[in-house]
Amino acid sequence: MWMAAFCNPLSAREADPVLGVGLDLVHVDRAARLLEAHGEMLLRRILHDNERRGKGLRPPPEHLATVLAAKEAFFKALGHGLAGPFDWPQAEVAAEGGATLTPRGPALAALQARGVTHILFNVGELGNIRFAFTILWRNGHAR
Amino acid sequence: MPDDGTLVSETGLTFDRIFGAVRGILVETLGVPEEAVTPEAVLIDDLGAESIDFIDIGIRIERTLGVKLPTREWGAFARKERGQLPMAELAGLLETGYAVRLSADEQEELGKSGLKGMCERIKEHHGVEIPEGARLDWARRGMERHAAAFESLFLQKLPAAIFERLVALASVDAYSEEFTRVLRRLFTVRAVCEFIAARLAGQEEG
Repeated sequence: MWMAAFCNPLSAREADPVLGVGLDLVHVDRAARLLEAHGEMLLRRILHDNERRGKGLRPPPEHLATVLAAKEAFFKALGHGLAGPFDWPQAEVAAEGGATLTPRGPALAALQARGVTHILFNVGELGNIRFAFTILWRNGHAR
Repeated sequence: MPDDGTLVSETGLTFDRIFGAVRGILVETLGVPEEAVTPEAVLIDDLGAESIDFIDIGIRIERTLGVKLPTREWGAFARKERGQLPMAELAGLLETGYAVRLSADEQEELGKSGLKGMCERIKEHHGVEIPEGARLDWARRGMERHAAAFESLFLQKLPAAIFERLVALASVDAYSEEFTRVLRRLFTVRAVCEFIAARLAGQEEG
């Protein structure tokens, strides 16, 4: 059902289950340069404590690229980019063993205020690119 | 200048020196040639800055110049809906000025249709023609708030020519691509440097 609505903007409006869509991609090389340039200062700014556990002092750039893409895709679905009103740690991303996204704090409150009941979320890779998409859904339309 | 290269504690930091530091950061971060980084260059459209670059640029400026750029607030400012009066306020103006009462559903539906589209819909469904002058007035009132927000966030005046251009665009559709494009052109290298200069001047006064 969600694919039919997703592929047909008119039916999406009629049923109105989709509250936001976000897509983003990040080059691993760019994430590596960012990590090299700013290290701990960058990680403190963008990662939730849970995202740092088990990753050592520095996560691999491939992982950082995935996390950045995922956070931005989520915030875009909420109607913002990374330069929006939310702190980046408010979207906690786990990319291994089935990607999950856990909104926290004001980001979670924003979802609840908009009536979001489901987050369709996944990440992927294509060569040196890591990408993520998010669809915000409401009222049990997600399957 | 202290040994660590920071310019923060120096007094009388000129625009040229701030621009020089910012230009160096942009050349390094964005990989653009130095000559491309002019004061009027737009970070997104002319220099190709993307969201991940703003993380990088923001941290570098903070480390080099000691000024934290409010990139989140700037990003929120650039959201185009702020260029228009809230729908509830427009609904009030329609009711008091033209005896048009919009239902809650209509308000939700018209909330992002732009002023011209809204007025066409009102003519079609309510039989009331809203004069173009009213649309312009509402657009100007919305943009005056937008300009105040710009001044507060960027610590500088919104250029008059851009303000008038945005008023004209908002009187038709503040959600148009063109409106967004003009808004993006506020994010110039000069705007960033002037923000840094104002913030540093404030620090020294404090």
